[in-house]
Amino acid sequence: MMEEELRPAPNRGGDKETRKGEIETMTQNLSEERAQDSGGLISLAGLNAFYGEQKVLTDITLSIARNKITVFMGPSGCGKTTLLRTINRMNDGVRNFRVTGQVLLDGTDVYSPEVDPILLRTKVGMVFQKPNPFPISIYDNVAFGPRIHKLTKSKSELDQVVRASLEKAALWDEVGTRLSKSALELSGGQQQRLCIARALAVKPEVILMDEPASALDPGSTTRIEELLVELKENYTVVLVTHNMQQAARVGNSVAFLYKGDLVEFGPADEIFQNPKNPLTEKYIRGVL
Amino acid sequence: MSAKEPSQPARAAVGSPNSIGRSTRSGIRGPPNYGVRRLRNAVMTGLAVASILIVLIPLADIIYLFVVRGLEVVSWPALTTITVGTGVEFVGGGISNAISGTIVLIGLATAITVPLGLVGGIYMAEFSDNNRFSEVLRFVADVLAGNSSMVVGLAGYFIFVLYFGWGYSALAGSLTLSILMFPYIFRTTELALRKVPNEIREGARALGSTKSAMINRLTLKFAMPGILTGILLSVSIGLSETAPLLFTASFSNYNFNGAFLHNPVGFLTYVVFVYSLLPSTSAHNLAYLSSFLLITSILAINVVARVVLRRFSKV
Repeated sequence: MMEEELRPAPNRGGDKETRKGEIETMTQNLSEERAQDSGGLISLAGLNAFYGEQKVLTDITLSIARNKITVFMGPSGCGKTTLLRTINRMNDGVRNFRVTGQVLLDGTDVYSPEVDPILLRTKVGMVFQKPNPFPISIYDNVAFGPRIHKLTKSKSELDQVVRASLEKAALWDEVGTRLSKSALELSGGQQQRLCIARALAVKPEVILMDEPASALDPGSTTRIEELLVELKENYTVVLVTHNMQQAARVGNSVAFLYKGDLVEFGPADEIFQNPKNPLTEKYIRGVL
Repeated sequence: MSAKEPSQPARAAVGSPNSIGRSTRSGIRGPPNYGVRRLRNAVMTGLAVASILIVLIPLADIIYLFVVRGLEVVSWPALTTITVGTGVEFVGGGISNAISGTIVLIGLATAITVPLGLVGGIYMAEFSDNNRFSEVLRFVADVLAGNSSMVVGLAGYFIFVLYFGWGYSALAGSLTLSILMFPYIFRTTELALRKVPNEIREGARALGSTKSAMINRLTLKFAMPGILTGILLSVSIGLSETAPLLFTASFSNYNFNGAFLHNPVGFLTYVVFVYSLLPSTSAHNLAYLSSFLLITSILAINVVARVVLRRFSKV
């Protein structure tokens, strides 16, 4: 792994030229990494989604690789969030929502009747666009998942899980001494990392991120992106974003969605440097 | 003045900014009729304050009257001895029978209503998904809440006193009271839960939480101040009811004896309602004392409800 090179340089945000060069080096690194691809953990096959009569996703087929960051990118309303939410069945409760086709996680169709959505969501965690910490203490936020799933046997074991999760989410150094404080006292970026820690505490394999940095300032965004790159060591990450720079900085594979169609799916560098579809190219140029 | 400039620099550079619809007067001085506007504002504010005072005066008068009269007649014996005599002859003694009866009636009614109201409210907010059934429930609750308590009392008389054959009794009285108290707990529980942001539910769901774990550990906890307020308000509704209890509890000069059936029980609002009309000072004093107790306890409940709501609602 070459995580060090993949991390965005700390002094980002300079002029456009260095920024562009940076993206190119990063995408190159990514393509080397892709050579040792370990196969798809999640595969979507012929997936359609409907809200009532309205079709919001049409015949989506793609494969999400293990220990990689797969990005769903596209303009608002293109269906990327809906697509993300089909993976952990978060739209189950939504009235008139329905899915046809397959979402295979490790070979099992998550929509088959014997799959328990509760268990599915322990395997497939999720982080939302707006940080949504529970209005309880920092500790209780992280401990929520382990507690409801009875993952730990003792208080000290729970303490360890909480600490490890906060460390993985790069938050321990900032909150380790004030775990009993309310999570709402944290800054937006810290709250989002807390939500990531909360998701990690149930030991998922996949983490779905729905524009996790779009409500954050540039500094917090950088931290989240660095964190994403670290997380893929141990997790499979699916990231939804409308931010192309972000997709280029962290993505291994990129799916470009437009009006419910999967326009193009491929390695990030190909999508950004050599898009095959004119729509993708237009979107990247910022004229779509 | 050019608030548009930062967001749309390209546009602001072209054409003449700020020329649309502005008066030729420059600066921040008000238009020619500004003085009139200020005067109108002052008059309207004055009217608003005056109308608040008009509402407050009778309230203050009631509280003053009953607190002063109540303090005149309150005494340890008056609170701890039972009433002597009935309306037809001399009435005197104390009101311990009405106090103990009220506590039993309200306590039992609360014990019956709180679980039902909570379960109903939780169903409405967390499970119903606004289906047909929940619309019917809400409609029924609204009709119940808007119903005359006299009618509910009569219904309680027919159902509990006569049909079930319980006679005038604590149980008949409490159940009738709980019909009146239920809608308040039911609706405030639902509203308090609906105020909990949906992001919290989404977050819990994404962690693989079952609905019951989410409700127990999160939403109910944050709705609790609102729910408690609803319970307290429904208790004060129950405390101030008279008509339904006249039909179902009747009245008794004796302290509550532990029997929930076939034994009439006393209650404070009866003392106010009946004894204030009797031609004797001793009866009037008992009525004043009961009013004093009712007013202070309802006031206390409302103050506690406000403190609870303010102190603990952080969501």
